[in-house]
Amino acid sequence: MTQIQAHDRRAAAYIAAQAVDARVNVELVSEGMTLNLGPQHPATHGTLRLVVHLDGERVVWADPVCGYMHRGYEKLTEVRTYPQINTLVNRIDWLSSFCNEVPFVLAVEKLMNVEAPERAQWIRTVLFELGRIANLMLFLGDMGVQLGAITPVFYAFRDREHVLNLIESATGGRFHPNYNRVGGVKEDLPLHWVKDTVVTMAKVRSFCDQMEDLLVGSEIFRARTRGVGVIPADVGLDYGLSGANIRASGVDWDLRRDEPSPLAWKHCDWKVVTATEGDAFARYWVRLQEVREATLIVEQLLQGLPSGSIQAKVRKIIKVPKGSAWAHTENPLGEMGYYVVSNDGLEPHRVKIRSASFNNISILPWLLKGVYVPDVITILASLYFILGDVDR
Amino acid sequence: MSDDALEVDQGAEVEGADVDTRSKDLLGSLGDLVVEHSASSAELTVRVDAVRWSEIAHSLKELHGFAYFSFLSAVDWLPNPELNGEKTYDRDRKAVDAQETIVDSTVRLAGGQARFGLMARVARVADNFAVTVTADVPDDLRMPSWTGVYRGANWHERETWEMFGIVFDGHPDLRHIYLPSEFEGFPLRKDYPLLARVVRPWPGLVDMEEMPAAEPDEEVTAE
Repeated sequence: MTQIQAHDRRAAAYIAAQAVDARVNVELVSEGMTLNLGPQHPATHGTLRLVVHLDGERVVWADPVCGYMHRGYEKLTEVRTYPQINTLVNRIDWLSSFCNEVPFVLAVEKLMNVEAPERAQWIRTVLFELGRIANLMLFLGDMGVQLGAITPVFYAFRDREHVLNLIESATGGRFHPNYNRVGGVKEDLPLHWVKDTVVTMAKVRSFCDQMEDLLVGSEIFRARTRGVGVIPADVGLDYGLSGANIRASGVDWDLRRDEPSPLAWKHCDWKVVTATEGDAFARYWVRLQEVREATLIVEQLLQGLPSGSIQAKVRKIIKVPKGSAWAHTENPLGEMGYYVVSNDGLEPHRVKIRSASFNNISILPWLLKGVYVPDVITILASLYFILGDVDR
Repeated sequence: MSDDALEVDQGAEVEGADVDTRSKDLLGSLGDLVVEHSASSAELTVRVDAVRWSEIAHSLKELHGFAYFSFLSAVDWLPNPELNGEKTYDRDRKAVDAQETIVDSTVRLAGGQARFGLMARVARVADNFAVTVTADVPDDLRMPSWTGVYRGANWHERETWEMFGIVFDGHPDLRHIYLPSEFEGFPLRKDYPLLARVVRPWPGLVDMEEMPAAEPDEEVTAE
């Protein structure tokens, strides 16, 4: 009798314990949590807001909310003259402003049937690559700081300053050069600039070596980036990813090499770097090699810099004949292009700005599905976007 | 440089010698999908009927390998109300008769008559060949969505809807992308006034010195 009661009691206690366990488990299976990342968050490079819905540590869905930096450039271009638009487009991707100007000016030149002289094209190409170097150097350090390595970002800011000094001494502006003119560039290169640039390129390469030691060689960095945020090539193309993001997925496509352009890349010996993994590490590695290649391009161009005029004959008031034109270049962040429609006016009828970052982050809802929270930051950092380039 | 030299040769038909063989091949296999086209050595622009807008996307992607989606946007072909710095805003402008006032179609690369022209650009990365597809948007401003073919079209169609009011049938999530969700109006339409200039009118050219363009023959040569 007592034995049976004891047994029952044990059984009852067991059932009660199970029930408590079950209750606890039920509570642990949460409804999920919606986390707001940004708009003011160091990992968002500006003001991208990311609404992520979490189940535990995993992302169920993510919804990027852009527009906090939207300045309506496409509307403003319709009431600005072409030289004024040149100033506007400087502010799209503010880390490599010079590179924003070039495709716009190329599109206008196409419409006006003007071609800048050889020397101007070479100077443009040199500054284009310096813009790329300045932009990607910051990425190389910044990627580290987002993963918890503080030192690289200081090195990046320190060494980027050398490149910005070069851009400033040639153009007058560290960030917003406004140096391109329809049919040429604003002025010629200053004295000793070529010599200084060659010295700086060596510094940039030693910076790349440092980053390779500090980050690429770091066990922690590899563990946090390898296999994280893998983008298959077909999905990347579907979303319109370009630049290093798609080259890291094995797509060998670089407009500098593939697109017939009046700029001077065709005169240089360099290679397009690709990787096949498509993960965050590959994107970092590709950009690191791209900076090295860019320094080689700059050095080669400076060795063969042609002499001559830097400005083609154009009217002082830029009035563009009727027509539509498209021009695009391989910018540090990817394909950047302008579709310029002119109706025979001082202002364009319409300018469609195709900026790389907008497409590059449109993959986020797909890419962030199912990743862990810390990897969200890794993926954001490795996709590398500039908010001005997203929102325009 | 005379005025004639500045004219850009952008007729709908370009001599065969200039046209890329890839353009010819593509036009041949697209057949009657293409209503009109313009081609130069590196560019191909084709215009399709609005009803065949998604058909061409399928055809380009599945049959011709145009896997890369570059952009999708629209152009409002009403004349710019602030052309050449002159304000011609009519703030009470009602529905405009598009057929009479739109910019003449020589400006458009592949022709077209409607007020809104939709355009999208896709590329084949293997040989770096891109096609810009345009279409006249019908009067009800409804177009089929490309999101089923190119996933990247999602955000671009949201932007185009927000800026021009073109509705994409079949889009899974057509909501504002840049502007606040309660925003009214379609800012990139030409009859949407630039608010900064309505609040405070642009002074125009009043305090500028005499413009050298007054003498049309004068040219500038730097260095």
